[in-house]
Amino acid sequence: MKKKLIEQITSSIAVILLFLMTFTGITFFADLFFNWDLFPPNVETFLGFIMISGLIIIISSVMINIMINISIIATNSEKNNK
Amino acid sequence: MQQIVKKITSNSISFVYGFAFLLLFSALVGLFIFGLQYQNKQRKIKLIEQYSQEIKPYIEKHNDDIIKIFTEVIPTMQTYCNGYLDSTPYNCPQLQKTVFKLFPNTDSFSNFSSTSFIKNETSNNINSATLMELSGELREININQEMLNLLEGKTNDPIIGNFYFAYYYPGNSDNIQVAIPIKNSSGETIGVILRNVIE
Repeated sequence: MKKKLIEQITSSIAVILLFLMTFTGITFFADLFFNWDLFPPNVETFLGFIMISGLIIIISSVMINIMINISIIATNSEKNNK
Repeated sequence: MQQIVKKITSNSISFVYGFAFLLLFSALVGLFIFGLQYQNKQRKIKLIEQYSQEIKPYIEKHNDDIIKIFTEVIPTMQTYCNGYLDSTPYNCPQLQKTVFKLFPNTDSFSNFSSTSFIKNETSNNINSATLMELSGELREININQEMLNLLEGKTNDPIIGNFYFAYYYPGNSDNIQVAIPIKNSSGETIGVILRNVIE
Protein backbone atom coordinates (compact mmCIF):
# COMPACT_ATOMS: atom_id res chain seq x y z
CA MET A 1 0.00 0.00 0.00
CA LYS A 2 1.26 3.48 -0.83
CA LYS A 3 2.52 5.60 2.07
CA LYS A 4 0.41 8.55 0.96
CA LEU A 5 -2.77 6.47 1.00
CA ILE A 6 -2.06 5.13 4.51
CA GLU A 7 -1.30 8.66 5.67
CA GLN A 8 -4.64 9.90 4.26
CA ILE A 9 -6.60 7.03 5.83
CA THR A 10 -5.01 7.44 9.29
CA SER A 11 -5.44 11.21 9.30
CA SER A 12 -9.13 10.84 8.29
CA ILE A 13 -9.71 8.28 11.05
CA ALA A 14 -7.96 10.51 13.60
CA VAL A 15 -9.92 13.64 12.60
CA ILE A 16 -13.31 11.88 12.63
CA LEU A 17 -12.63 10.07 15.92
CA LEU A 18 -11.22 13.22 17.55
CA PHE A 19 -14.42 15.07 16.61
CA LEU A 20 -16.52 12.28 18.13
CA MET A 21 -14.23 12.10 21.18
CA THR A 22 -14.70 15.82 21.81
CA PHE A 23 -18.42 15.13 21.97
CA THR A 24 -17.91 12.11 24.20
CA GLY A 25 -15.50 13.98 26.46
CA ILE A 26 -17.97 16.82 26.98
CA THR A 27 -20.71 14.25 27.72
CA PHE A 28 -18.40 12.48 30.19
CA PHE A 29 -17.81 15.71 32.13
CA ALA A 30 -21.51 16.60 31.95
CA ASP A 31 -22.20 13.17 33.47
CA LEU A 32 -19.80 13.97 36.33
CA PHE A 33 -21.12 17.47 36.94
CA PHE A 34 -24.85 16.68 36.72
CA ASN A 35 -24.48 13.28 38.39
CA TRP A 36 -26.43 11.52 35.66
CA ASP A 37 -27.52 7.94 35.76
CA LEU A 38 -28.29 7.41 32.09
CA PHE A 39 -27.94 3.68 31.55
CA PRO A 40 -27.77 0.44 33.54
CA PRO A 41 -24.21 -0.33 34.80
CA ASN A 42 -23.54 -3.04 32.18
CA VAL A 43 -24.42 -0.64 29.32
CA GLU A 44 -22.21 2.03 30.92
CA THR A 45 -19.32 -0.44 31.09
CA PHE A 46 -19.78 -1.26 27.40
CA LEU A 47 -19.87 2.44 26.45
CA GLY A 48 -16.72 3.03 28.53
CA PHE A 49 -15.04 0.20 26.65
CA ILE A 50 -16.00 1.78 23.29
CA MET A 51 -14.68 5.16 24.48
CA ILE A 52 -11.32 3.71 25.55
CA SER A 53 -11.10 1.74 22.28
CA GLY A 54 -11.73 4.95 20.31
CA LEU A 55 -8.99 6.68 22.29
CA ILE A 56 -6.52 3.87 21.53
CA ILE A 57 -7.42 3.99 17.80
CA ILE A 58 -6.85 7.78 17.79
CA ILE A 59 -3.43 7.41 19.45
CA SER A 60 -2.45 4.62 17.02
CA SER A 61 -3.65 6.63 14.00
CA VAL A 62 -1.69 9.69 15.09
CA MET A 63 1.44 7.62 15.74
CA ILE A 64 1.22 5.91 12.32
CA ASN A 65 0.55 9.29 10.72
CA ILE A 66 3.63 10.84 12.36
CA MET A 67 5.84 7.90 11.37
CA ILE A 68 4.67 7.95 7.74
CA ASN A 69 5.02 11.72 7.50
CA ILE A 70 8.56 11.54 8.86
CA SER A 71 9.28 8.84 6.28
CA ILE A 72 7.76 11.00 3.48
CA ILE A 73 9.82 14.01 4.61
CA ALA A 74 12.99 11.88 4.64
CA THR A 75 12.27 10.50 1.16
CA ASN A 76 11.53 13.98 -0.23
CA SER A 77 14.64 15.55 1.27
CA GLU A 78 16.70 12.66 -0.12
CA LYS A 79 15.22 13.33 -3.57
CA ASN A 80 15.94 17.06 -3.25
CA ASN A 81 19.56 16.44 -2.24
CA LYS A 82 20.24 14.30 -5.29
CA MET B 1 -2.03 45.65 -2.82
CA GLN B 2 -4.38 43.20 -4.49
CA GLN B 3 -2.56 40.34 -2.78
CA ILE B 4 -2.96 41.96 0.66
CA VAL B 5 -6.72 42.50 0.04
CA LYS B 6 -7.02 38.90 -1.13
CA LYS B 7 -5.21 37.64 2.00
CA ILE B 8 -7.39 39.74 4.34
CA THR B 9 -10.58 38.49 2.58
CA SER B 10 -9.36 34.92 2.81
CA ASN B 11 -8.58 35.33 6.54
CA SER B 12 -12.04 36.86 7.13
CA ILE B 13 -13.70 33.94 5.35
CA SER B 14 -11.71 31.46 7.48
CA PHE B 15 -12.71 33.34 10.64
CA VAL B 16 -16.40 33.36 9.62
CA TYR B 17 -16.30 29.65 8.81
CA GLY B 18 -14.51 28.90 12.08
CA PHE B 19 -16.97 30.97 14.06
CA ALA B 20 -19.94 29.35 12.28
CA PHE B 21 -18.52 25.91 12.99
CA LEU B 22 -18.02 26.78 16.66
CA LEU B 23 -21.61 28.01 16.91
CA LEU B 24 -22.92 24.89 15.19
CA PHE B 25 -20.81 22.65 17.42
CA SER B 26 -21.96 24.47 20.59
CA ALA B 27 -25.59 24.16 19.47
CA LEU B 28 -25.12 20.45 18.81
CA VAL B 29 -23.46 19.89 22.20
CA GLY B 30 -26.20 21.88 23.94
CA LEU B 31 -28.90 19.87 22.19
CA PHE B 32 -27.12 16.62 23.03
CA ILE B 33 -26.76 17.52 26.73
CA PHE B 34 -30.40 18.62 26.88
CA GLY B 35 -31.41 15.27 25.36
CA LEU B 36 -29.31 13.32 27.86
CA GLN B 37 -30.70 15.37 30.76
CA TYR B 38 -34.19 14.40 29.58
CA GLN B 39 -33.13 10.74 29.28
CA ASN B 40 -31.72 10.87 32.85
CA LYS B 41 -34.99 12.31 34.17
CA GLN B 42 -37.09 9.71 32.35
CA ARG B 43 -34.92 6.88 33.66
CA LYS B 44 -35.27 8.14 37.24
CA ILE B 45 -39.07 8.35 36.87
CA LYS B 46 -39.15 4.83 35.42
CA LEU B 47 -36.99 3.35 38.21
CA ILE B 48 -38.97 5.09 40.97
CA GLU B 49 -42.22 3.82 39.44
CA GLN B 50 -40.88 0.28 38.99
CA TYR B 51 -39.36 -0.10 42.48
CA SER B 52 -42.15 1.58 44.42
CA GLN B 53 -44.94 -0.24 42.56
CA GLU B 54 -43.20 -3.57 43.05
CA ILE B 55 -43.06 -3.23 46.84
CA LYS B 56 -46.51 -1.64 47.21
CA PRO B 57 -48.52 -4.92 47.63
CA TYR B 58 -45.96 -6.15 50.19
CA ILE B 59 -46.21 -2.92 52.21
CA GLU B 60 -50.02 -3.09 52.12
CA LYS B 61 -49.97 -6.71 53.31
CA HIS B 62 -47.42 -6.25 56.09
CA ASN B 63 -48.25 -2.66 56.97
CA ASP B 64 -48.67 -3.19 60.72
CA ASP B 65 -45.42 -5.12 61.06
CA ILE B 66 -43.47 -2.55 59.05
CA ILE B 67 -44.84 0.21 61.28
CA LYS B 68 -43.65 -1.86 64.28
CA ILE B 69 -40.13 -1.96 62.82
CA PHE B 70 -40.00 1.82 62.76
CA THR B 71 -41.87 2.56 65.98
CA GLU B 72 -40.76 -0.31 68.24
CA VAL B 73 -37.72 -2.16 66.88
CA ILE B 74 -35.36 0.64 65.77
CA PRO B 75 -36.04 2.95 68.75
CA THR B 76 -35.45 0.06 71.20
CA MET B 77 -32.45 -1.42 69.41
CA GLN B 78 -30.42 -1.19 72.63
CA THR B 79 -32.56 -3.94 74.18
CA TYR B 80 -32.14 -6.19 71.14
CA CYS B 81 -28.47 -5.50 70.64
CA ASN B 82 -27.27 -5.61 74.23
CA GLY B 83 -23.64 -6.68 74.08
CA TYR B 84 -23.33 -6.18 70.33
CA LEU B 85 -23.21 -2.41 70.12
CA ASP B 86 -19.45 -2.14 70.63
CA SER B 87 -18.54 -2.87 67.03
CA THR B 88 -19.12 -0.61 64.07
CA PRO B 89 -21.29 -1.19 62.14
CA TYR B 90 -23.34 -2.73 64.91
CA ASN B 91 -23.89 -6.38 64.19
CA CYS B 92 -26.95 -7.67 65.96
CA PRO B 93 -28.20 -11.24 65.37
CA GLN B 94 -31.15 -10.82 67.75
CA LEU B 95 -32.33 -7.87 65.78
CA GLN B 96 -32.09 -9.89 62.57
CA LYS B 97 -34.45 -12.55 63.98
CA THR B 98 -37.00 -9.90 64.94
CA VAL B 99 -36.76 -8.17 61.58
CA PHE B 100 -37.19 -11.46 59.72
CA LYS B 101 -40.37 -12.12 61.69
CA LEU B 102 -41.80 -8.69 60.93
CA PHE B 103 -40.49 -8.49 57.36
CA PRO B 104 -40.73 -12.08 56.09
CA ASN B 105 -39.36 -13.16 52.74
CA THR B 106 -42.25 -15.56 52.13
CA ASP B 107 -43.93 -13.34 49.56
CA SER B 108 -40.87 -11.35 48.63
CA PHE B 109 -40.07 -9.01 45.78
CA SER B 110 -36.94 -8.83 43.60
CA ASN B 111 -33.62 -8.15 45.38
CA PHE B 112 -35.38 -8.62 48.71
CA SER B 113 -32.13 -8.96 50.67
CA SER B 114 -30.91 -5.49 49.69
CA THR B 115 -33.84 -3.82 51.45
CA SER B 116 -32.99 -1.56 54.39
CA PHE B 117 -34.78 0.83 56.72
CA ILE B 118 -33.97 4.42 57.57
CA LYS B 119 -35.32 6.26 60.59
CA ASN B 120 -34.59 9.79 61.65
CA GLU B 121 -33.55 8.60 65.06
CA THR B 122 -30.09 9.86 65.90
CA SER B 123 -29.80 12.50 68.57
CA ASN B 124 -26.45 14.16 67.86
CA ASN B 125 -26.81 15.46 64.32
CA ILE B 126 -29.80 16.61 62.31
CA ASN B 127 -28.11 15.44 59.10
CA SER B 128 -27.80 11.86 60.22
CA ALA B 129 -30.19 8.95 60.57
CA THR B 130 -30.18 5.30 61.58
CA LEU B 131 -29.96 2.72 58.84
CA MET B 132 -30.90 -0.86 59.60
CA GLU B 133 -30.33 -3.68 57.15
CA LEU B 134 -32.24 -6.96 57.03
CA SER B 135 -29.12 -8.65 58.39
CA GLY B 136 -29.54 -6.71 61.62
CA GLU B 137 -26.66 -4.37 60.90
CA LEU B 138 -27.14 -0.89 62.25
CA ARG B 139 -25.30 2.20 61.16
CA GLU B 140 -25.51 5.87 61.57
CA ILE B 141 -25.50 7.47 58.13
CA ASN B 142 -25.28 10.98 56.80
CA ILE B 143 -28.38 12.01 54.90
CA ASN B 144 -28.89 14.76 52.38
CA GLN B 145 -31.61 17.41 52.41
CA GLU B 146 -33.81 15.43 50.02
CA MET B 147 -33.83 12.43 52.37
CA LEU B 148 -34.32 14.65 55.42
CA ASN B 149 -37.38 16.19 53.78
CA LEU B 150 -38.78 12.73 53.09
CA LEU B 151 -38.13 11.53 56.66
CA GLU B 152 -39.70 14.65 58.15
CA GLY B 153 -42.76 14.24 55.94
CA LYS B 154 -42.16 17.48 54.03
CA THR B 155 -42.27 15.48 50.78
CA ASN B 156 -44.34 12.36 50.19
CA ASP B 157 -43.27 10.93 46.85
CA PRO B 158 -40.58 8.24 46.61
CA ILE B 159 -37.14 9.56 45.65
CA ILE B 160 -34.08 8.11 43.94
CA GLY B 161 -30.41 8.77 44.59
CA ASN B 162 -27.31 7.59 46.38
CA PHE B 163 -28.25 7.68 50.05
CA TYR B 164 -25.42 5.64 51.56
CA PHE B 165 -23.46 8.46 53.08
CA ALA B 166 -22.20 6.22 55.85
CA TYR B 167 -19.90 7.41 58.61
CA TYR B 168 -18.21 4.10 59.14
CA TYR B 169 -18.97 2.07 56.10
CA PRO B 170 -18.41 3.68 52.73
CA GLY B 171 -19.33 0.43 50.95
CA ASN B 172 -22.19 0.27 48.47
CA SER B 173 -21.48 3.90 47.62
CA ASP B 174 -21.80 3.30 43.86
CA ASN B 175 -25.34 1.97 44.04
CA ILE B 176 -28.39 4.10 43.71
CA GLN B 177 -31.45 3.46 45.84
CA VAL B 178 -35.16 4.17 45.73
CA ALA B 179 -36.52 5.51 49.02
CA ILE B 180 -40.17 4.79 49.76
CA PRO B 181 -41.75 6.65 52.71
CA ILE B 182 -43.79 4.65 55.25
CA LYS B 183 -46.69 6.34 57.00
CA ASN B 184 -48.55 5.42 60.15
CA SER B 185 -52.35 5.31 60.49
CA SER B 186 -52.54 9.05 61.05
CA GLY B 187 -50.60 9.76 57.86
CA GLU B 188 -47.29 10.79 59.44
CA THR B 189 -44.04 9.59 57.89
CA ILE B 190 -42.35 7.29 60.40
CA GLY B 191 -39.45 6.08 58.26
CA VAL B 192 -38.24 5.11 54.85
CA ILE B 193 -37.75 1.76 53.15
CA LEU B 194 -34.66 1.80 50.95
CA ARG B 195 -34.33 -0.50 47.94
CA ASN B 196 -31.07 -0.89 46.06
CA VAL B 197 -31.42 -0.47 42.31
CA ILE B 198 -29.83 -3.65 40.97
CA GLU B 199 -29.82 -4.13 37.20
